[in-house]
Amino acid sequence: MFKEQANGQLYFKGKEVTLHPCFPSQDRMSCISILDDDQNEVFFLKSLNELEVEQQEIVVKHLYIEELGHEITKILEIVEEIELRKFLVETRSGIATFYMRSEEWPNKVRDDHFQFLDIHGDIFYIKELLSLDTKSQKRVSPFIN
Amino acid sequence: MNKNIELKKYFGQEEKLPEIVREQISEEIILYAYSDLNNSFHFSGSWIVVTETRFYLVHGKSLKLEKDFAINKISRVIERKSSNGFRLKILTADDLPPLLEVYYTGKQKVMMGKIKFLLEKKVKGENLAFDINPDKEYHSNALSTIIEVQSETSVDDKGTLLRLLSYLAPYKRKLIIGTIGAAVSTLVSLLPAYFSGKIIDDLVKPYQDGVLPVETALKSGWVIMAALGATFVIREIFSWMRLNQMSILGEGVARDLRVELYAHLQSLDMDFFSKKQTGSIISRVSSDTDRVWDFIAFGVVEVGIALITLLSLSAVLITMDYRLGLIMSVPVPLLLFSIYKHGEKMKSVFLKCWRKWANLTNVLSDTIPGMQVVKAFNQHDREIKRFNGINDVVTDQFEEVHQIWTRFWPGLMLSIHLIVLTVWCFALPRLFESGESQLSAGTFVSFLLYMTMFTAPIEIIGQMARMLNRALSSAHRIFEILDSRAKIVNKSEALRPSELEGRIEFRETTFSYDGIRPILKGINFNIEPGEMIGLVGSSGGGKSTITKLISRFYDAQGGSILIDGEPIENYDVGWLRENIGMVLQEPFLFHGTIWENIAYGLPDISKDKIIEAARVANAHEFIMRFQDSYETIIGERGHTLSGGERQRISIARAILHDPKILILDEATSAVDTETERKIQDALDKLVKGRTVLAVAHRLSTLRQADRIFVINKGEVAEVGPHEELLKNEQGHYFKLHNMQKEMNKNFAL
Repeated sequence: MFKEQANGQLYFKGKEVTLHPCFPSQDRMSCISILDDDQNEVFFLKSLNELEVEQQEIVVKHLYIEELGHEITKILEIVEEIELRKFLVETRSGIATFYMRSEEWPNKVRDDHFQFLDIHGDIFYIKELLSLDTKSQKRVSPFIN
Repeated sequence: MNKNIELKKYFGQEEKLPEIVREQISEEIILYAYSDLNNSFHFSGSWIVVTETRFYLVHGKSLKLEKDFAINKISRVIERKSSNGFRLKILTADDLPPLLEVYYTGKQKVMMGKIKFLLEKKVKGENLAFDINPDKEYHSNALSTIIEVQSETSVDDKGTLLRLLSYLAPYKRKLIIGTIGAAVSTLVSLLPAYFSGKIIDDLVKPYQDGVLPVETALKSGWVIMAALGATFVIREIFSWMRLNQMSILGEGVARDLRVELYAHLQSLDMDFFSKKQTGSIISRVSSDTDRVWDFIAFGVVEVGIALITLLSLSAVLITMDYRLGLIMSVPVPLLLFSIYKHGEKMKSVFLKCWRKWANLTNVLSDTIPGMQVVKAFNQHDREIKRFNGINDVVTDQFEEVHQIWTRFWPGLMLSIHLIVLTVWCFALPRLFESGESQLSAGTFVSFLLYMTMFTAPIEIIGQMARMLNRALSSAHRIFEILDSRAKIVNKSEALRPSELEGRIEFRETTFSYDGIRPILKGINFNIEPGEMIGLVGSSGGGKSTITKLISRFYDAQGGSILIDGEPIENYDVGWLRENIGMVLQEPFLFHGTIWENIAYGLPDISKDKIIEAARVANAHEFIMRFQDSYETIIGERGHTLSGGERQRISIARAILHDPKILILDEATSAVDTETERKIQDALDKLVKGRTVLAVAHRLSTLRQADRIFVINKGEVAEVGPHEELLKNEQGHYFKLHNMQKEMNKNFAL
């Protein structure tokens, strides 16, 4: 059913598809909606156990590709600007700048996992607060603790 | 748009397509965008450029063409979203690998959306309906969210501060008096300590040494006491001058800003209001002007006084005794620095408080409006527990605030006491010395008193940055509105004819809200005076847009609109709107009495006419059931009335205005059948003798229409009377009619 093409795209029954977990933060590995190019649901995967082991591996790999946004590894600077808060961060995808509205705050997803939704809808996240260096923790502390 | 807002500053990307890229492209560029992710969703950069026939991908660093292909090879363009960003897939055929895939973050989405739209148009062999400037499109779309959140004028703090202070110009006299009051009261405050020293050195000590007789000492003492008393009186008189003049002045500036803001808001187009949140506009007129008042009335002067006090205290102390003066003055910058650092720490902790306080208010704003649901699901206990939990978190956070400041201030005071102690340590031996280095007891007492005056100004200066930031933030938000310009303005000799006949003509009229996606695609029609036209069609087809263009809430970008044969732009906008009445789906009523709402805009209208209009609108009957009849106060937005009652009051209002052109936009869609009958009956009376455009989904409400226009995807798909349109079994109207008939049949079953 699921196939990965040479270009790395995921196909389901010959159609290119993407995976959309119903609970992306809490449980990515079950209740997955499989959407085609027109955003129509072509299949609903309740549990990975419904698939053969080989198929499961393909799906799990793509679930990781379609991650939860850009993982922050270092907070370089947080600057208060008029109506905005600017974050200069180092992520696993490179250095990035993003902005949040002054009155909006990072969302605590669980324990020390925090999600930052920027004003353009891009998602950044801290996987484990304690894995950041001390300076980064200190910089971000007023916004999450 | 303000040119000072730099893309480079905000996103680190170029202000426009680099010249070197343009030179590599021979055709005229229609649109371009920046792609800021690579195919692994890593931050990167490349340019996407679209010309008349080709599509280019340019590497962001080397600026060399990486790919280009003919647009006619494209079969489909798809945009996909994932958590890491967006992907634009350009396909040549569904079963072949994409021609190109472009990856980007949300920052580039608006511009990429336009590229997608343009490519889709071109795939269909169509062109854009409007001329566009690719540089302007790229720049303004990339910054649109920042501008929306922040403001167009938010870059130059110094300029904003100067502009804010320019509002003081009409209050020069008050400003001068207030400043004199501040300066004199500050300087006079230095005198009591001086007099105290004088009493000790010139009277007490000479008397104790037996040099001065008691009578003379007492006499002189009373004179100094009187001078001291006079000093206090003078100081308070000048303090009063300062407080009185500056607070009135601040109020005046806030009033001027509110007047200018409100008047300016009235002049702005609907386009402005559709892009801004109501709460945001209201807060600029209310709380932002209040913050500016606070800053002008107290901030500027308080900081000025603090600086004058510190400088004059240092000068006085050094003049009195330079050694002790230096001991006292030199640590001042250190104290200021520690206050600044404390302020920074407090800012960070207050941020936490603010965040947690917001959580608490969120619970309130969730549950109080939804109290019916809470009760219905018997969730009181859960909600109380939720509130208490967050309330405890807030309390803990504020406890941290109190821990910090209660530790800091005694610590700071201890430092000041240490300085005082140091002064004592240096002064004490000199008090017992003789000769040049001897310190008189009076000088020392003056010194001690002056030292107590050091703390307050240091604290005020420490808080200056916060105060200034708050005021500047508000000033930016106010000036953003003041700098917005209405696009729809009267021509220099705008027409105000004595009468409007009501003939309407659309000629090849095109319109788009975002300048790219057309809502109306070159539509043509004529409406004769007194004709009733029904506008039907699917949502988003352009029906309401037609009515907004006739009311000139927006101007068409292409073609023309003529009213009585004259281009709509030639008329005075106010006169035109006076002659157009509107009855909307959600009628807007103001807080006030029923008669004030019916007579809105006609303050001198007679009571008879108001009652007559209410009778025609089938409103009189229910109005008379209220205890206060026409004087019944209807709450904010008329919430004390039912939907049907509000609608009939708005119809009465329209009747009273007697417009030549009447627009009915879904006027009966939100009410029950019985109320609809009453409203329809009122509308039937209202439409007589006027040109009417009635937007409706329920075709039954258009039974009186002379002609019906079926609007589909920005075009007039069909025109004709009801019976004639029904003859075309392949037509949209026929299908629509049959669908509604089926629904009604099923409903009846």
